Amino acid sequence: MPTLLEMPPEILTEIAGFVGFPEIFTLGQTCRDLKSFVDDLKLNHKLKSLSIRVSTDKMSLGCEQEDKKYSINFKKSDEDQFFKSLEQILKFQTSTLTEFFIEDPSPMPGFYCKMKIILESRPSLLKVYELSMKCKNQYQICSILSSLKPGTLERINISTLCWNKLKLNKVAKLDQWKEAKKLRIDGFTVSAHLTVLSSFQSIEVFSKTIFWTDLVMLKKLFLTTPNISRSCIIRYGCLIGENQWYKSLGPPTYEAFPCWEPYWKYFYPNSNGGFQIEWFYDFNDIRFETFY
Amino acid sequence: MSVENAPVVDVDEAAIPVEKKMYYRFESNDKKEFRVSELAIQQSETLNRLVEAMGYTSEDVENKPAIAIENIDGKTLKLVFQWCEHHKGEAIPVDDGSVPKIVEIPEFDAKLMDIDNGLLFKLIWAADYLNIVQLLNVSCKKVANMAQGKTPAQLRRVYLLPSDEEDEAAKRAAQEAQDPRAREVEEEFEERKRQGGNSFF
Repeated sequence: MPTLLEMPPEILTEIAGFVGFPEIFTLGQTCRDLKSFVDDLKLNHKLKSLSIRVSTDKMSLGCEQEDKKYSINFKKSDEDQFFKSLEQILKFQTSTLTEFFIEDPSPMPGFYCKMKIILESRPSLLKVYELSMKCKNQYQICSILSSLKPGTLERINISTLCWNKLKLNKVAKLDQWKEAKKLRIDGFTVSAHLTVLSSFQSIEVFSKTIFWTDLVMLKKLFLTTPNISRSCIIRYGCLIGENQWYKSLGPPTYEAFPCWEPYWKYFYPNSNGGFQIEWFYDFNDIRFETFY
Repeated sequence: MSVENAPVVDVDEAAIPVEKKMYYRFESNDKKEFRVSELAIQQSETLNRLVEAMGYTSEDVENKPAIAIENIDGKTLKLVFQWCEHHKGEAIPVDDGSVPKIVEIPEFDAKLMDIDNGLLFKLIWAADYLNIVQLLNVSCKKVANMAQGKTPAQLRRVYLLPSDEEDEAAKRAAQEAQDPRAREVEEEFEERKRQGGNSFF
């Protein structure tokens, strides 16, 4: 009686084409012959989303395919198999990943380097609509961002848990950054001029410390780009130069009850359009928004 | 149409209603003969090319020997032709390379493939050999479906796969069975080494 292993390679490939994610990797764990067969496959799983989570004791891959969600967990000792599976998933993905999520709270040595190698080994740049990363520094963001297709990437979410200082000088030079439309930075102390955010139409930054001079530059950005519809929310732990910022805004307007927060309206020359700055002082929250 | 009623017939088993269209005769490797309609044959790229190249007339079909398919047994070939007759005239699908492939298994096909794994693998092999794209699709999908939600150990049982240890042991046994003298030579060599001899000769 013939068995699966006695099937010619082209038939095994046909069968593998029907075995979805994650069963294809389970198949690779059954025996040596199928492991080497699965390792050599070039399958486009047409995933909708991919999440990669690395913690101190395990790694996991979560995928969404055909409206079904799957996940595979790897023990720390299975690091090689984890990267092999990741390579197989990423290398031949041709459709756009709606969401690509990477969480690496306890950095695995060489993780971003290996990710970069996998992404750069693809025949073309990976298409991603929304990139979300929980990471620690600019190098990690650059490693991933530089391997994604500019233009397709519209949303970037970067967060951390420990108020790391985040420089943005290198990442802001990437086309992927310049062509994205929506940015969210959460939990970092942003150590950069906020003008590096100027290419985004929607910005949300939660930073431990903000300097009043950065806010002035943001205001200038809104003043000098009247044709761009834009919104920007800055949340902060500490605003350095609070008084100077307040004075630089000019006289505020106060809404009638129930909203007591001050706001400032600026009109573009010869136009009914302009932008508004709202300062929710008690919530450490400043909002810029254009209106037309 | 039920699987049992599919119009593929062993020549020995029943009389075929005579229709105007041409029925080709095929013979399996265990000498079972089948009559298959021209339209059904079009599902198999291999057979279609073969009969086109032969250019048989209706007299040739009756008078010349049945076309031998030497790699496939009668039991498998009967399933193949039942499938072809049921799906005759249907468009042959084109593979767009996406994974997983979107293929539905119709009720007829599901019943046809309600068979043991050994015969199912023979059917897949035959579909590949005869280049019947959709039969290959549904049969491979059936095998792939068996993997759903299974652990590696369960998959080994389903697909009759050896574990790495069993595989190693089988290879060693096969090696020894192939060359029993090798083991004797090895034992003799070890014995001489124990006795302090430097040379085997």
